[in-house]
Amino acid sequence: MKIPLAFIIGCILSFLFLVMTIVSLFWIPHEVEKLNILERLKGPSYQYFLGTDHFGRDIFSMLMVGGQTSITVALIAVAVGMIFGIPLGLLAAASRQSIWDDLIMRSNDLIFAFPSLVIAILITAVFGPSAINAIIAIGIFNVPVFARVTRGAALSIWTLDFILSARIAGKGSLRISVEHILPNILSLLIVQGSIQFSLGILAEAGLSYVGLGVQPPTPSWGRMLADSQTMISFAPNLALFPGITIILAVLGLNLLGDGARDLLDPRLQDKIR
Amino acid sequence: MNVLSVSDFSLTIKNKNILKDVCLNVAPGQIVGLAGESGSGKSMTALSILNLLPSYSKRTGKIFFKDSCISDFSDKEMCRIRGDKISLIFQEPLAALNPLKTIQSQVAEPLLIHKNYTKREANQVAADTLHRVGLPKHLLHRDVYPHEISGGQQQRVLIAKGFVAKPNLIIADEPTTSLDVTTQAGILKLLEDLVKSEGVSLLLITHDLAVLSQCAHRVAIMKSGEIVEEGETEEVFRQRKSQYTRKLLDSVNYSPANKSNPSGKLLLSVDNISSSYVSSESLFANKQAKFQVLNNVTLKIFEREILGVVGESGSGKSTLVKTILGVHKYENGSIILQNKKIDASKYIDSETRSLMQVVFQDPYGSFNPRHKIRRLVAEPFHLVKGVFTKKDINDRVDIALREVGLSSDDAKRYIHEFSGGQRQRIAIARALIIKPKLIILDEAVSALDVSIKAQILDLLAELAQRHALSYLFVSHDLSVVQNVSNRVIVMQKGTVVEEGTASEILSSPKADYTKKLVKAIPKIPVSWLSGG
Repeated sequence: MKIPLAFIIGCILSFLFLVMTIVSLFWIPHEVEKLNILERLKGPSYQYFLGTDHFGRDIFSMLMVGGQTSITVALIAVAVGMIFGIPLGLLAAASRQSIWDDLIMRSNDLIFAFPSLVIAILITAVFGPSAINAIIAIGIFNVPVFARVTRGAALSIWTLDFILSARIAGKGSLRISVEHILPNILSLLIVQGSIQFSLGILAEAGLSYVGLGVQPPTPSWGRMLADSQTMISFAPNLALFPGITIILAVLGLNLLGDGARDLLDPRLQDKIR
Repeated sequence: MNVLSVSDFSLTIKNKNILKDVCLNVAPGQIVGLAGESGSGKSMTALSILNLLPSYSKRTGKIFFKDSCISDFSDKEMCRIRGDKISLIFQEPLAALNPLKTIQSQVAEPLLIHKNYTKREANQVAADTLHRVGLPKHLLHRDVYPHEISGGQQQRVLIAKGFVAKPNLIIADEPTTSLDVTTQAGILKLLEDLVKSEGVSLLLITHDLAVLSQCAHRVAIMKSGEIVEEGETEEVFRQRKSQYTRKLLDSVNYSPANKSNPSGKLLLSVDNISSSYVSSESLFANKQAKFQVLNNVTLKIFEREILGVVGESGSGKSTLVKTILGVHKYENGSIILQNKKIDASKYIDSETRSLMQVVFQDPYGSFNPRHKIRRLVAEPFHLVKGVFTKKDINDRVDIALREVGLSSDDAKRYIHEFSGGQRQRIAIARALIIKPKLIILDEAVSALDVSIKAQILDLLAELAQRHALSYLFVSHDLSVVQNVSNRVIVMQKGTVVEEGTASEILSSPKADYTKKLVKAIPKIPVSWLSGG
């Protein structure tokens, strides 16, 4: 079987990103919570791989630890979206053209109507900025995304003959949804999941950038960008490296999701082969 | 001189031989039929003539249009031929028409491109041509879009488009395949008229030999990229020099060796049911529109009987099937299957459900592509939960697969690895697996090629004998239904217009609609088939 190049690149990027984060749990080149003013604003060198920031902290170590925050927030937010969104979407599709369908989809529209950042600011204004509140804010907005994608895809599967034959075999809506609908839309949900995951990383970076994500001294990519912007004229590497890391992580995840869909679908396998 | 002559034309795409030494001649004013089963290269021949092949295809041999060798033409030169000298009519009229442009402007298009007409003149000619192909007056004005007219009318528009620039040759690729029989008759007559009155030549590509027997002067029979037989229509049909032609003609006139004998015991009785679709039950729908689909339909099926249901698209056949299967509600009347009432709005116990199974038309949509054959075929066991052990179920899947002519190894494969005919066999295995009394065949053979169709019908007849099954055989094709059924009912617009034995309906139809239907079926003259 021929594996598409884009998928390989996505795998490598996502893998590097993951390894970097896991390693940071056990070992990092330099302490990130200790200030070392003597070593501040150093350029990339053998000792400091990507240089140091204005407090003398190692940028590479901070990026490694920042990955923990990004992954945790984005992963839990996607999980929240899937856990609530997929069953809601399946329910809406199974009870299509009934009050339930309307109720579910219109409440989703209601959530969609608010810009996510505004609600995130509202949540943090009420409960205070923290990683958990960032997760809640991003997670809530994943629910209608998954509900919509699930419902749309499920509706098209519901019209097929094999669903009718399952109904004739006496299977109920719940069973058909789990046995027949879900496996057939799974590839779509995986792609959507990887997109939402990368969007989650972006959203977390955004919230941290405006100071509503995790709080100092825990490093996060978004706040590294925010901190660096006053020094961008004389220490561009401070902004450059977190920016590149975010781009590569998001790109890698997107490519991974896209490739995974092609590989998971038995019908598409003939074409790849 | 021939309008078109193809000599020793071969085509290879990606090292696969698509066409091999094809020779074909079309004389002026002649209808030449090109027949064959799916994948035989009929459509590729049409595309080769117009040089619309993918760039990586390899061609050898020559194609002449009049005296110019168009197979040597560049794409630019071909553009002057296409649509002007040679035009093509496609099978799927809705897909071949641009939904955003009016039918008149689409018909006028070839004139604007090839004939230097002004827009006004072109529209005038287009309107005249649309009138010529039999579109009713109220559709002749300027802003009619393709979705506003019926399938048969769309096909007429396509014919008008192919014909408007007065080409020398029209290639029609399955022009009537997606149409109802009565509509098909009209379209064929139109094509014949155009050929007669305007002297154009027609290359008619179809899988339906009966259609060709009625209108073609010459026929060529294709099999896997080769023309196996070519000649005057009557000669080809009478003499059947090649084995393949013989096989095809036998399948057309197929009838199972032994018909089943119905016993007197009533199995299913559908009594005066009416059914409708409601457009939307949504909270925000302004108005609920109701479409009456079934109107006081009554039918009975006895044990070991094969009941045919015939009707054109929109006659309510599929709704009837769904209603009997207990997945669609009905308003009044009753459906009784072996003393148990079937009603989709109430709970139907699995014992009753397990008495009937279904085989659908589309061999591609009837299976969950994510499951393996074993699981697909075993699905009806859900109805008899707990009765069988896992081993029993596996054994019975193996037996059922062997019974429909597949091997038990096939249980480990996915559905996309099988051909259309094999999938239909798997569907039959699934229907058989819990030994129902009644199998509903909803257009079960309509999507299959003639020779495969005959095999499946043979299989069905054999299984009916062995397992004492009753069939409800639903089809739009009266010629298939009459051969396999004990009794036939004819449906139109949700009502049963006629009921009787197959031969009664065919030889002396009573209702007007049935008369029209019987008359419209293309038939190969009986004397041609008897041979000699």
